[in-house]
Amino acid sequence: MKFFQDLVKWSRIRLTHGVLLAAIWLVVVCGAALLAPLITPYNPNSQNLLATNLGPSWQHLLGTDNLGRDTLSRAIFAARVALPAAAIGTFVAVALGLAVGVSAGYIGGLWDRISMRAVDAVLALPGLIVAIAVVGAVGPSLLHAMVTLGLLASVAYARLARGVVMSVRHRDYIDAARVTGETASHVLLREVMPNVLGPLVVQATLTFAHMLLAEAALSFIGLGVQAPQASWGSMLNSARSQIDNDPFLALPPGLALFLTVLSVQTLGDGLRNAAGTAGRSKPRPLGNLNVLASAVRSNGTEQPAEEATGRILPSEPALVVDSLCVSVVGTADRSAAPDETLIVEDLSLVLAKGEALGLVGESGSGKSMTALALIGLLPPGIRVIAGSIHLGSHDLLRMSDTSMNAIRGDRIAMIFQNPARSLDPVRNIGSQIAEPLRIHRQLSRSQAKRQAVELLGRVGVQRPSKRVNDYPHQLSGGQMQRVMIAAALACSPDLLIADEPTTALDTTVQRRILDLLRELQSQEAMAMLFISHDLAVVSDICDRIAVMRAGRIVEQGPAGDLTDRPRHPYTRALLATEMSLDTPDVTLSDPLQTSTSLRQL
Amino acid sequence: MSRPVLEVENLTVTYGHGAKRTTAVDSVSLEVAEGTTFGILGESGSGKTSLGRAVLGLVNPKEGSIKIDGVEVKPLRIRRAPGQGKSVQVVFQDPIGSLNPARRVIDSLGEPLRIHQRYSREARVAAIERLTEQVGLDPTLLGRKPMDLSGGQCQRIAIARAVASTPRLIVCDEPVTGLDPPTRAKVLRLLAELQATHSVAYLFISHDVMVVRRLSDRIGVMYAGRLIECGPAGEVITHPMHPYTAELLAAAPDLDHKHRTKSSPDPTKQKIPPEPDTVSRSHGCAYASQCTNAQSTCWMSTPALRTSSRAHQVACHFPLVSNDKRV
Repeated sequence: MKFFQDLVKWSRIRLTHGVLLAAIWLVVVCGAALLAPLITPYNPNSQNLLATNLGPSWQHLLGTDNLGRDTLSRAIFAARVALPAAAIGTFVAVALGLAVGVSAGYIGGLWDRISMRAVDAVLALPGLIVAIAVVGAVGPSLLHAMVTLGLLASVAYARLARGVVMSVRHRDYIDAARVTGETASHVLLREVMPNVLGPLVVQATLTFAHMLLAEAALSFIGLGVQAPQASWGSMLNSARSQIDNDPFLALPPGLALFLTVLSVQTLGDGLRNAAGTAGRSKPRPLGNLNVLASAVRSNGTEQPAEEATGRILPSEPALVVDSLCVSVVGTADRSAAPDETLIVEDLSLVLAKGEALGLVGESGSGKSMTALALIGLLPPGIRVIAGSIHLGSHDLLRMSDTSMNAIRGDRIAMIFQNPARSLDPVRNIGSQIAEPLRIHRQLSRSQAKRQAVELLGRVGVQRPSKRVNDYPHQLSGGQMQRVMIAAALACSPDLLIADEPTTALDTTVQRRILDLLRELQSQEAMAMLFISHDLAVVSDICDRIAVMRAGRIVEQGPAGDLTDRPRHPYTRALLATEMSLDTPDVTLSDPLQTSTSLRQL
Repeated sequence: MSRPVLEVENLTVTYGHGAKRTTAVDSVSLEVAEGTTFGILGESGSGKTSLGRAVLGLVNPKEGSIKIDGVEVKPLRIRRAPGQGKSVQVVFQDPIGSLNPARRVIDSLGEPLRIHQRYSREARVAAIERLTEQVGLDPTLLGRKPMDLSGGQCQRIAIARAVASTPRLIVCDEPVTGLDPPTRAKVLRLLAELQATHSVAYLFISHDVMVVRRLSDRIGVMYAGRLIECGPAGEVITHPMHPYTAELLAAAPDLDHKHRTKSSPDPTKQKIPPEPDTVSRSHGCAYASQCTNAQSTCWMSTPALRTSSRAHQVACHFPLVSNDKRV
């Protein structure tokens, strides 16, 4: 039992009822096939013409056929034919397919082109008909038929393996292995193969099921095993002739075949689901944040409260966030009760019109989730559980989806970290800049384009009337981010959320984008929430800074004040890491350790 | 001075053929002394990564020679003799991507030991434990796969793997770019410690002035495939001679708020900084179109790297002269 549990844990299969039943059935079938001579009550081929076409009884549990042979015994012996036949076919397919696919993918060049054209040709052949033709030519033999089917099925593996190998062969870890001095065979065997194995096992179960059916089909038409040997296919064939006077006869072999194929496929599904999550045992932030959140909660009273509320109360707030709580509904472990983990806890922010607030924190501190909550785009499984968000007079959390859509892109705009991924590669940039105007201002195509040209000029793109027809790939990273900013500014929003807008850019480009954002923000008098992990960047562009850690704001204050006289030890540690290499070893990533040091203060 | 660990001479790397040919690295020469760090500073597309890959033997240089400990680096083919990787190792930018997701950490770490040292199984396990201790990694993580670890942890493993075969030179290609500032500081400190104990040399490639400055003894600045300035780290940072280096240094964000002066919200006074149009040319200084003191000479001829004072080299017709040097 222990071994079984380990096996399940190792294979990462989620034991649903279906997978469990399938596994049990396959174990039963395999066991019965192995022990057939010991457990069958009758010789499968011994005829008893006095007891033909009997129904189920205690002597013959599944009755007898037209020659008086015991159906149960024949069905069990048939498994001894079906399983090895399917195994041979699958083995040939996998072995040959892997050899061709891996070598084609890794070596490439001429060998790749020749072998892949051959694979394409084989794909065009109808498998079962070729197998029948081969059997017709070399005489009826199940082995020949299955090897032929295996050869034909191998093309799927060749393509699969080639695809995986091509996708990993230029990854960093392959390069690292080559630099280390690994030989080609080792790189293939130890670095490339493990990646192929996952999808391969899944594909193999499907092929196995396919081979079971093929064997039954061949035996059904008399080209597989020869009488009197039992096979599910040949049993079905003899049942077919008796269908008028003994319809029950078709049931045992039919059911056996049906259940076995179904079980193999269910198991394959289970394996595929496991492969989909392999290497990702559970969403990591959940586990970590759980600890973080509890550490913060237990430590909550010791937070310097007057720091967290902020000292500037702007007269005309553009955005008011009050005690916002965002949580993840845990789905990491199915057996456990769904637990809610707070990733943003009791967060309050006020942003005046024309003010820039920087939100600083390490990855996983909840700063991006705060931004997504503001714009109403939290990913599935994450939701706001408490608090309120007011943008001017709008209560964002109480709005319907339609009215939120009307606000998004119009009153609130957002720019993201990677402009290359945020822009649609198949549309020119003019139409992407103009899109919010077309949606929210109902501008005509030509009006929108004129506006787009003007916006492009405003964000410092040279020759805007020419560039407006360009596609994203024709622009540099800095130019793309300018396009994103132009689109965000199209409707002159009240609030601009910038989530790490310069992290992916070069230093000199970052400088120019920061200058641009600062200039535009003061011209437009719009509020800006600038999110970054880089305290230097934030202090450069923002009026106030809020430092976030483990879902909470630990310190908030005017930019110069906060960087010159940090009060919270975490801010101090964060500043120290930015300044020099010779920092005292503060273990920032260990919340418990830091919280004890907090208590000592 | 002893013989340098790495000697790169007149290296040129090109990609593509015919009209599509682009020159990624253009006649670069440099030397890295034993146990020191040579920082390569440059922005994306400057050719710094291609230079690193050429040193590793992962790309085939068009011209020039690369010698590690006096031995010519041959480009790696699919088939190659093991043992070549003993002198040079690599740490890549993406820590999670540079470890095989399908293999456990301990297997990835054991690989260089198995190849180069021919340890027995027990000795290998002991060596792995010693390594993990050196890079400050929790030994219980060894059985995990990279996806279960954080970026910082993966980068420690990648560093441990690089150090495992006691190489003479490690090429670090943006090793801390994807990491949070606190994690970044720790990884940099680890690299500095390992250099002190193993006296390994680093070719440290980054776009981040702060990061390069922390670790480097010498700094080379690359622009459009060329090495445009090269010298002792302190010298290059405090007295940049190439206008591009000066711009790069000025652009680095810092905490002294010198940029935080906001203009008044006056729409009549627009001063939006434009994005420069970069046009590639076959002759002249590549930086000329963006240079504030470009003159007609700059458009005509490509400046060569010339030695100025104190082993400080610059490729500019009109290098900047700092006040204290203009005696």
